[in-house]
Amino acid sequence: MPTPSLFPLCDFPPGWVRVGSFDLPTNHTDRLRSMGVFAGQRIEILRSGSPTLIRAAGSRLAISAEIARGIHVEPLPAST
Amino acid sequence: MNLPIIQPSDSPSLFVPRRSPTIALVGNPNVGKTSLFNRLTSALSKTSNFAGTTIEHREGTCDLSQLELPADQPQSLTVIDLPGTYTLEGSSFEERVTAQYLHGERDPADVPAADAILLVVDATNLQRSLFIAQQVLDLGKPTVVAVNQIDVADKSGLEIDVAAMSKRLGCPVVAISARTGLGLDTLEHRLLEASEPGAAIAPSTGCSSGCNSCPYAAGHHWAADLAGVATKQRFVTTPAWVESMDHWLTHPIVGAAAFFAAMLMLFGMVFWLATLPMELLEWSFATVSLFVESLLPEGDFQSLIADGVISGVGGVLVFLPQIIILFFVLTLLEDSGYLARAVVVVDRWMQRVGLPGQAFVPLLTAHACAIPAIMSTRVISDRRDRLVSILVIPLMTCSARLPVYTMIAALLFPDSPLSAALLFSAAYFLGMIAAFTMALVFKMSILPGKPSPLILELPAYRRPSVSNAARHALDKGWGFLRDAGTTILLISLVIWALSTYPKATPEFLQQQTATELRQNPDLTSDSQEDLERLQSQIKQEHSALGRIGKTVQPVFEPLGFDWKVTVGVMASFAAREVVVSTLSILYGLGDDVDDDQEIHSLTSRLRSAQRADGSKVFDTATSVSLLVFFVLAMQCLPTQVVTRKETGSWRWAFFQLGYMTILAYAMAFLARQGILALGLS
Repeated sequence: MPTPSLFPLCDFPPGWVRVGSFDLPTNHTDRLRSMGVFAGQRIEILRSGSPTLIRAAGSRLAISAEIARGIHVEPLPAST
Repeated sequence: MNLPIIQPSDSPSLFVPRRSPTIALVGNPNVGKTSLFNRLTSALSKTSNFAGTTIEHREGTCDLSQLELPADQPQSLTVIDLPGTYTLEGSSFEERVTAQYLHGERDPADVPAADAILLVVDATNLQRSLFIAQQVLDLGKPTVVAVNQIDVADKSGLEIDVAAMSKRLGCPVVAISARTGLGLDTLEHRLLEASEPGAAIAPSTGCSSGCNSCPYAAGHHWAADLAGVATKQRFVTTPAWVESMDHWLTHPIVGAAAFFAAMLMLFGMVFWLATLPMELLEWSFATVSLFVESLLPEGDFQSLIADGVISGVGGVLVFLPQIIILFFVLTLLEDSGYLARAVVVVDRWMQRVGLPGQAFVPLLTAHACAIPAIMSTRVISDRRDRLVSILVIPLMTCSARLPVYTMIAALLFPDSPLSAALLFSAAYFLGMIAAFTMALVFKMSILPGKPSPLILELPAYRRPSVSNAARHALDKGWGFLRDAGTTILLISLVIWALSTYPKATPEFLQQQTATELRQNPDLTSDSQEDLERLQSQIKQEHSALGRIGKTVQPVFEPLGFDWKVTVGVMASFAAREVVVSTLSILYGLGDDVDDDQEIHSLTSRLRSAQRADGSKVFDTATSVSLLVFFVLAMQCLPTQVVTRKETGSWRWAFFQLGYMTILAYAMAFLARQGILALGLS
């Protein structure tokens, strides 16, 4: 479950966020981690919705709403 | 994972000099690994699965003769192209099998063990593609890193310092372009050196040793740091058009329209562009068959060669243009980066029927032919999703069903083209509904689990390589011929034997001809042609296949099939369209039914065919029952063979045959009984 400072990725508009935790099955979490989405990593939301488009570790990823709900993130100031 | 560094003395088998050292090609998806494989290996490659799995690898030979090496040096390299993977420590089956191979845990008799590793990374996205580098280097095997797409990076203003990379990694790093061939000579030299006994092994990256909760974080930080050191232009801004293209191509409405346009093009090319070469192949085989018939004396051997071998091979080869065209266009779409966007668009629709977005293209392709459709399910990453797709693909109406639909439409609606068109549409619709329903059933029963939710990298847009697509398509075509052709030929010969033996004696033939002419006043023997048709019918009835048909007929009685239709169903076990020519023989029209006029003659005969009690054989109920049976039944041996190959087991091929036959039988029975109950027949 998201902590008070962490919110599901799907709730955020385009912009930079920091990954906090995952509420997903291990295989999905492993896949995301191997693609550069891991706790502490800064990622950019390019488009919200389903699918959500993000940029992580230099690549553009498309993730379904189900996955976006299970990634808990914290917002980062726009300048970061 | 903290792996020990393997020293040469620890692993003697790894360093035994080989005439043709083996190089394992490793890297992320979309880094140009396959293009590099095609560049390095000029001739057609061998595609096979790791034993006991459906995980594919390709094996090719890299000719080194242009390097003019001394005679005591290997003159070639064996290159193994492994599946694209983001990690060697992931939980997917494909990742585990790849890691097992690289760790030397697979049987060398299945696929030769690697003497060295060629890691391909993408110059335009070093950070991402270097993540796997630390895992590969920590395997403790001689490794060469190829920085691919160096030309594209250069145009984007990126400068890659390969010397700095090599120093940090402790292994050779070569800048290449698989597309243009730049740097390949240097790469081949480095590979040769790396595969020599006692070749240097890069030190452990050490980045996984200090990891506690998430080994991925350390790996990504290591990769980001290395990419930062090696890349002169640290931040590459994505061009505005890329953002815009992605926005529209993944848009629910505009993206869907673009997807349908792309699929229309793909489907049109597979369906229409293949028509001419398919007709040419059919004509060629018919000509060769006639030529052989004229060369050989009349008899069993002539029939075996002309009707068994040539027809068997021809029946397989006729699918080849569709397979080659499909894979050529699919590879172009994939290389361009579009296919990933298309998957994003259709994923939400396909999830509703329990399948991932990647299943849509194979299902659509099945409308042309189930064989290339099943082969193209390799784009589906999840094993269960892929298996479900393979199982339901043959339910989609393919082009081979069209002659059967034409015959039944003409039977039911001889004077109403509109009604015939509606019947065609209903048959297509029934196939689609059945496919999606069975997919749901399988996902809720034998292959449970939700479809994998979408996590997909959107690769960079790039100009696809026509030569790469052609090479890939030819590889697929060759693989189909090699793996499917032999089995199909064998079973074609069995069906030929069953429909030829035991042979009717001339006395029996004469006696039966006289009996048939006496019992059926409609039949004539006015011309030699009429007599031959009648005798062909008697021979068919006398053959093992005819006898089996008569024995099995009671099973099909509830569907309204008489023994002739039953023989037609059985004879078309190998190819469903054969039912038309078989019925034409059994109903005394000859076996060359290929135009509208002849179909019309056949349907006239079928319409007037009567049972012993004087009732029509092909009343509405039986005609609809026959149509439903052919919409849903497997009746295609090449598809069965390809299912076996793609699933790695005859078990799934038999299951597919079994469930489709039961489904076809049950639905045909229900259709017939429904029509009879409503008094519509």
